[in-house]
Amino acid sequence: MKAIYWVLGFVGAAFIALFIYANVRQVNPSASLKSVELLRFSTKDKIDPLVAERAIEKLRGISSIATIAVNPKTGWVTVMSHPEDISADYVEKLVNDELGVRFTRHDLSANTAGSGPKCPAVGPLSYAELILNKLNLRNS
Amino acid sequence: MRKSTILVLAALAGFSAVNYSCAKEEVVEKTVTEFRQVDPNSLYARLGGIDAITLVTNQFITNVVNDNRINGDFAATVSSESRATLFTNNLIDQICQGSGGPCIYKGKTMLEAHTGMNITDAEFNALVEDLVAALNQFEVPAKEQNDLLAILGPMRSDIVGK
Repeated sequence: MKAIYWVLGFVGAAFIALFIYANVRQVNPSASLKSVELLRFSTKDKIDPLVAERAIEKLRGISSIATIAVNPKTGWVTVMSHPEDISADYVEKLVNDELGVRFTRHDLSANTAGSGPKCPAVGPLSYAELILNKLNLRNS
Repeated sequence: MRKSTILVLAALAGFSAVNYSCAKEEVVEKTVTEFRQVDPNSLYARLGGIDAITLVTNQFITNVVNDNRINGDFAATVSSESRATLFTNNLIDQICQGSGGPCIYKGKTMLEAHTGMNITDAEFNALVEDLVAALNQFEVPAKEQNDLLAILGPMRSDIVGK
């Protein structure tokens, strides 16, 4: 029983310390940016470049969509969205509606193209940074 | 009595942890303060600050993920919301710091991040093309584009063929 108090005490104290640290430290401006999600779609149908241009303009005007890239030659469309504001299903619906063809959503992690191991630029420290940013009330 | 002793010890542990964090923070804070004094003639300022850098970086990453020549190398990196956000923010911080902005890049060095990936010249060139397309989309003037590419160019030796 005594050991449980000790463990709980230290865990609680560590959390409080982490919380305070997350809220007093200087952070990069990027820490307050909304989180993003990348969604990739493909179609075997032909994408009309003029329709694509109009769709890009329209979708870029939606605040919950950060960016969009359309390649009429390959039939690929990639959308960067803010998942707290818009669901992946709704993005898919918008892409289908605006481009006027039927798209299939792809799991990005299933893509195995490329010459070697996957880009590992995100390290453990980046995850620590993410946790600290989540604890930072200035970001909410 | 026992409970209060534990509480006191826990509070002391918390206080020490905060103190340790703050002591470490002083060092970082000083560096950040130095970084935060942005030169109005810096590339960061000429590009339009953090908002403009964010727009271009987001478009750049979207272009890369849509580019069949190289997206395989990035698929796992951006496959989830948390990884995509971390990667995007790391890149924004890197460009922000490199252009003289008030940021500190906390990701891996380019050499560390790309060792073992066997990136080819063709893949690196495709990446630069995607960046230039993003810069063009937001009508970044040629001088600022060249200045930015001059900052990123030297990283090539740490990325290609490692």
